[in-house]
Amino acid sequence: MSQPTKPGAEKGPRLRDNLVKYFSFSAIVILVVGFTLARPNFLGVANLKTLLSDSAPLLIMATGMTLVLLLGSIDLSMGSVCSVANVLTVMIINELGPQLGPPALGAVVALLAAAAFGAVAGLLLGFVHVKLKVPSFIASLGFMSLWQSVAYLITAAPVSVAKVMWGGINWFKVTFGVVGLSLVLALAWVAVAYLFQSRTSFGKALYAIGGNERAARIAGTRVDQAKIVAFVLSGVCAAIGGYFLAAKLRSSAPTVGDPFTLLIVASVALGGTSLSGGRGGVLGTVVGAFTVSVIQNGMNFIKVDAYWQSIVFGFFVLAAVAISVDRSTRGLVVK
Amino acid sequence: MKRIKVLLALVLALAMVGGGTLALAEELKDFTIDPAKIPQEKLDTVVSLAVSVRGLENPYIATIKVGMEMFAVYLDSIGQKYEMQVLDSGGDSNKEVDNMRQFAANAGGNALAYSDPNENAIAYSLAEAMAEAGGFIGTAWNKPADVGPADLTPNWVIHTSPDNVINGYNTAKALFDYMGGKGKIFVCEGMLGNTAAIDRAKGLDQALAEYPDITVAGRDTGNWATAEALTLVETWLGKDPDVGGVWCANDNMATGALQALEKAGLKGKVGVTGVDANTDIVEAVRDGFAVATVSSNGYLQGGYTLAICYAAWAGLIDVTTLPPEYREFATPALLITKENAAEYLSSVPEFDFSKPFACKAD
Repeated sequence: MSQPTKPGAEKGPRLRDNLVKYFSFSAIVILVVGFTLARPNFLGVANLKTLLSDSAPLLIMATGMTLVLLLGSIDLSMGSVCSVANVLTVMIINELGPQLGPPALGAVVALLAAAAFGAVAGLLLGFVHVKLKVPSFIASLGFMSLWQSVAYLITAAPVSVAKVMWGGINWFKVTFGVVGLSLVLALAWVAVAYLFQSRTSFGKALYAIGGNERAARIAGTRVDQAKIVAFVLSGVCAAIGGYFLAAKLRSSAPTVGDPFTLLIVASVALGGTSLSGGRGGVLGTVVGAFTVSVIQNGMNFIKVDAYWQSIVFGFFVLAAVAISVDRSTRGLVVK
Repeated sequence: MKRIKVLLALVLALAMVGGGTLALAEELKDFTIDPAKIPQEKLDTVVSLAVSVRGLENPYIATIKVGMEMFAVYLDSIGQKYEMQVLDSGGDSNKEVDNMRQFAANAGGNALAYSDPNENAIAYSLAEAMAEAGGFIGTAWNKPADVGPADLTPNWVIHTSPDNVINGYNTAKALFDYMGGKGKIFVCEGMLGNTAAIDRAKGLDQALAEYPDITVAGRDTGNWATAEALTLVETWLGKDPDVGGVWCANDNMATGALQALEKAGLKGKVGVTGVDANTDIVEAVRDGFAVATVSSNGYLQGGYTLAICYAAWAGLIDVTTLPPEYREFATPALLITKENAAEYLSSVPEFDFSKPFACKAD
């Protein structure tokens, strides 16, 4: 439960908000400058192209997580929903695609199926969390395990997209200068999410619930509905992330989404969205996702040992969460 | 008459092409890197070497890195400037592709890499990442059947693999012979979907078909990991303590199986086999605690793959004219049993990287 804000205590949150903003935006600048000084070709065309197109799946998934974290909830099943969508995509492209005719048609059907699956996965999680009153941390942990198994059941072995169907996924390789089509699509997706977050009653409800759920409920906000919609959207984002990964890797793997769970949470936290809800937004997440990508890309670029990479990455996440966490909340931090 | 002349001409032409290919293949066997033929400009260029692997905690994978270092010593000897890097994916396919893209982008056309794709499905993406930057790559172990080096000539130079079906078969046969051809076994398979795991299990199944009195009391994936195999074997031992052997798809899992047997007081009484020739398992084979393992020779795989890529980069071989059997081929593997384990442990591998195709098994 949130404590009422005392008039004199306003300085604290304001300073914290500035710190969050400062950390999120300055970290990426410092990192880019640092990596460029270490390796001048860090900002070369080849690496920029790689960096920007590799960020697209993470960006889309992190956008979905932002909506859930704004509620003060969490969706740990996003990585495994991404895996299921990934294997589903390749299965449809390979098995249904050739019967549909042009490869692009198979790819579109696969996209629709993946997105529909993501929506159903989100709906189930939202229902269990909201209607059965299971904390989102536990509910999504359960679904994480469930979807991991489903991904294995669909295809235990990684499968390549058949060569004849590559025409349907080659869009991922299309670039305009250093900017890939994948990134353009991801940013368009973020823009839609931003409009949702800032211009609709649904968006306002997210902030209200994250700030103080009881007050939001008393004020007439349709809390349950907003929560379920947020989980549905995060499921769809995870599924589209899985679709992008299928196009990027030209293959599926039942574990492809697993490492993304941490990366997604890290992106949102680095972007300044509070893990206790009510503060932040998808624009910050864009910065957060790029920060994560720059850290990962840059550390490889300057040849940091793989084990040290995890330490540096962990440090950044801890720092971001420590700065952004709302210490005025005395109740459950993760709802 | 005219038709006969045309036919004769065709036969002659085909014979010349065939003979030429044969001669080229013969030449390649003895192909030697001649430093005098490498332009000084190339020698002064810093060439970036990398091995892209699943995790250096696996002793077999660590030998691949050592293979790269051995090749680097050779580069020193011919005055080639270079730098080295290990691209560790930690078993994450997406990260492995990202690592390769970043490495290739950094080094541009001066990148040379050995890659053990985490899963067969990403082999093309790894090679494509290298091809986009103009570098050269050789893959090992895993790739789908419908794609290969010929799809990305000249950048995807080679794909090699020890014959995993034979490796799985040979270790299983050694185990079954040790058991007297009858009894129960436990099976710890490798990571689901991994080509090497599938093929080694195929070899095991072939051997099982030849030994009808061997029964499988427990079979599951240990995901290549010691801890998972330990748990599996411990669980199975509770149900079937009279087991005669444990077949493991790699040595890391064989280590876990031995630990479980030791806890149950069965170490040395139950046969264990693995693949990869990790030092602890070769020692166990020598000491009679394990039956057999196979050396896939990571030193050779890492070092020679980079040597062939180097020859392509330096312009000493023309990848476009390499015959298919020099683009995809088997590398030699050695079955290690009690007879040769001590000798294997005491020998230090030495390679002549000036003859890159010496790594070809046949």
